[in-house]
This record gives sequence, C-alpha cells and structure tokens, in this order.
Amino acid sequence: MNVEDTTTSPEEEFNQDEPEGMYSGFVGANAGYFAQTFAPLNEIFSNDGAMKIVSDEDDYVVVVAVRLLEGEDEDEEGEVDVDCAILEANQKHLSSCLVALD
Amino acid sequence: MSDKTEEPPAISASSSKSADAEEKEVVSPYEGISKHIQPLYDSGDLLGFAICSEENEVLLNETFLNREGVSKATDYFIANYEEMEASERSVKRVIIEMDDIIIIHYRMKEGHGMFIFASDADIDVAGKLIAELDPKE
Repeated sequence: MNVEDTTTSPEEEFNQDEPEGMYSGFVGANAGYFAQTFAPLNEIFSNDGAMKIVSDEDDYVVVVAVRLLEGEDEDEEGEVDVDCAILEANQKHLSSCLVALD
Repeated sequence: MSDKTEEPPAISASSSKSADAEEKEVVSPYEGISKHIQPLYDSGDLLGFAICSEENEVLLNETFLNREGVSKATDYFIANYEEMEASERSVKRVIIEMDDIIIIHYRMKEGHGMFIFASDADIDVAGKLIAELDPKE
C-alpha cells in the first residue's frame, strides 16, 4: 500500500459504517497515519526512510513497517510501501512486535 | 619546629568537608532513572537517553543529538500522543526501529523519556526495564 497524503486520524476511517471493511480500513488508516507522523524522524536521525513503528496502547499494539520501494521504474524512487498489523495488548516481547510484519 | 607552622590550618579542613557535603546534597532529579537504566549502558545496548517536560523543554540530554534535535524529535512523539488521545486511544510507549538504532519513547512521571538503543540491543530486556519506571499518571 503506498502512503497517501491524508490528514485524517485513524479513527475517522475506522468509524465508517462498513463492517466488512472496518478492520482493513482501520489497519490501512493506521499505516498511513503512523508513516506520515514519524517520517520527519528520518532527517533527525539520518535514517534512509525504512522504519518499523510499534504503538503500545491500552487496547492493542499497532505495528507499522515502512519500506522503501525498490522499483525498476525511476518514478518510484523515494516512494515507500507501508504494512500494518494489529496485535493483542500487553505483548510479552517487544522483539516479537518488531518482527510481526517480516 | 618550623614544620608545625606550615601545617594547614584546621579551619581549612573543616571548610573542605563542608564543601563536599554541599556537593553531595546536589542530586540530579533524574539520578533514580540513571541508576535504573545503568545496566543498559553497561551492556552497550543503550546509546543515550533524554528527558523532556510536557511542554517539551529538554530537561536532560545524554544522547548524540543536540538539544534542538531532541526537542524536534520529541515534538513528533508528543503530537502523536495528543492525536491519539483525541481519538480516545491511550498510548503507553512508542518504539521505532531504524537502520542503526531503536528508539523507545516512554511517558514517565518525570517527563517524556527518549531512549536510544543500538540496533542489535536486547530490546526485550530494555523494554522491560524501562517499563518499570514510573509511568505518567
């Protein structure tokens, strides 16, 4: 999924009246939100753009992986692909969260 | 006999003791945190940490970033917490793995803690130790 330029919060999409698409919508909205929110950290920490983000929350753990596209097309240079997973709350090991999307 | 006159005056010794005592009284408010996470420094996993107030004033900086860098980074974490709270989501901590480092950002009683680890750090041990620090009330 490519990152979309959106300023909507994860909940806005989550609260749509589409039960079948609710989970995937929530996951997708979270992926875009976290990727966008923490993208500026790349410059601060001199990172190349790929990162994994774990949001440890009361109700669940959200894991987002931001990967740089290695496309053959020059137009894709610099673009990122984003994956997201929702895990149960209170994960015992942070390391298992970080590899959840590998 | 002349040696006796060259002995340091007693008052000098007592004022020195007094200065030492005063030095010992100056204890960093973050000494407890530093002591708690010292094993992570000892193992080589922890590269540094910083603490910022709720208003994002840099209170302590032991990272490779300058104060401006710490403050800028913390801005994004704080913005995330606020956005999440507006969505009625309570975030306890955020972990970000980059190429060379892993950041654990934790909301403590003392402020926003940003702990920076080596990429090969035992993040389970680190996460457990940091989670033992007093969380924000």
